[in-house]
Amino acid sequence: MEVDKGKGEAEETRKVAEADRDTVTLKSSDGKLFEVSKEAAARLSTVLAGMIAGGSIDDNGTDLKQIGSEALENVVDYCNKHANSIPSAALISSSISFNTAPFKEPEEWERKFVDRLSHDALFDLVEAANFLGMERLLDVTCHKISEMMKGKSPDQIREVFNIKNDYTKEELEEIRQELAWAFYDD
Amino acid sequence: MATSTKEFADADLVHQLGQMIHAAFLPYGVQPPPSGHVQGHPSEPTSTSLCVCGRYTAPQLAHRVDAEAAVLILYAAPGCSDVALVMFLDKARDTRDMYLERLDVAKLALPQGDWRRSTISWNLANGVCWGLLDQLLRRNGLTMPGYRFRSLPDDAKAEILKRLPSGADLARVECTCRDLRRLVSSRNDELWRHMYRHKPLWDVSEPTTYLDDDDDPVEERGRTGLFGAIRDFLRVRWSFPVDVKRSDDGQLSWKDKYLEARNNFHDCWLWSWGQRQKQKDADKTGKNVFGGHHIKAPRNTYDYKDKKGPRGARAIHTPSARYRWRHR
Repeated sequence: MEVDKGKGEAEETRKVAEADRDTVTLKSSDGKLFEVSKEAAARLSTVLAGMIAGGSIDDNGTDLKQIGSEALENVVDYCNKHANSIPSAALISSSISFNTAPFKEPEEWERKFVDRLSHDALFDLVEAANFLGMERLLDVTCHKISEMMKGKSPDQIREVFNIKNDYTKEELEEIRQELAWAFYDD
Repeated sequence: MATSTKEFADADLVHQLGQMIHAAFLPYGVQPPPSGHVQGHPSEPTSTSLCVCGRYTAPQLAHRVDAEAAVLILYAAPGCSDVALVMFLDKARDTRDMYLERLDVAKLALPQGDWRRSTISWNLANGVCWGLLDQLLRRNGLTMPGYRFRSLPDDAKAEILKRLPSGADLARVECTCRDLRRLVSSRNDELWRHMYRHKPLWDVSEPTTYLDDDDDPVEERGRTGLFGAIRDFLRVRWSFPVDVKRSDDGQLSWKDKYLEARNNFHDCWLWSWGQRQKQKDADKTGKNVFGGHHIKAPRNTYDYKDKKGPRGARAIHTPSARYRWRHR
């Protein structure tokens, strides 16, 4: 019983020590460690906020097996550099009404942040933001990809995103007739 | 015994077919593997056979010394009208995935001019070539650059589609492949509802007014001045389908509502005036955007089908059954 009690105390002490730390350590799928401020992580990511509140953050690095090191580096970069520029109240309201509210246009620094990314890094970041519940980062990255689709014909979209055209010619003709209005707009 | 190229079943045709398959691989960014085969290089015809072969690998694998590759072999024997087409992955042990076709060259009509627009080239590029490269990448745990869009989860794809600036963009994305069409139709309400509520129909660059959950317009702060006020008035009056909301008895889908709103908007005087101005400008500059005369674009499927029917002197007007009954 005493041993159990001792273990419980040690656990309690560890949790208190973790709570006192200002940073959170995240481990990518390939084992690299990244540190991010606890406040920024909690403000920008609903998943990390939940983990911090629940005390499930590992001191030696919380495993994020779905996220590669390059994507996690970008996530941490985004959190560390820019967390202060987003009011937390706006984030809270956006997370509640995310499915219905209109999306805010990315700010200048956010545009620059995603513009420097390669095609693959951008998609990795979308996946990471989706996994970590980072609404604003998802907003910015998805906006960038939707801009790449904007005003393009189906052929051009296929070319940009390397999408295979798996329609038969008859099916394609039928769809083009059904959605003919979309080809006359603009 | 010396054998000339002519003794084979249309040697030129075989070479042309080889070049066509080679061209079908190119859009996917394939490269020759470093282990050394020159891609698409035809061997010299010998007395026994004519063989065109090539090896192709994905760009990510090209730096590997022992890179796995897709192999193409076209083989023709002298005095025989058939050509064997074999395509496979060189390290695949399972021969069930091997593509093997016997082609009758006499019946094979290869297109002249630009091959890329032909049905054969279309089927090769989107069929066997794409399939082999896809298999090659999967076997090596890789994805082709740009192929990441396909591997995104549906939720993330839907978030991207929601941010498209107009319904026309969403419809054009729907036309790209079956997977995206399935995604759009499975999330029809979510995506089109968003388009209907949040995307203004006449100007998508700077949205300033939106509908909230109760369909009340919500104005974004910080825009003042007479121009802003006029613009906001026009947006509220013309951008949002008030008539559709009133007439909706729960039967219309969000896509139908969007289309009806769009049609209502296109019928309004402001839009027609804008189109007329555009036509006048085009006439002045000598660049007629409508190709000589105004063509009214079909607004939906039914209009489009109607427009394909006979017009003018060729049209046959049959009186309705009621008319005939009354005037019998």
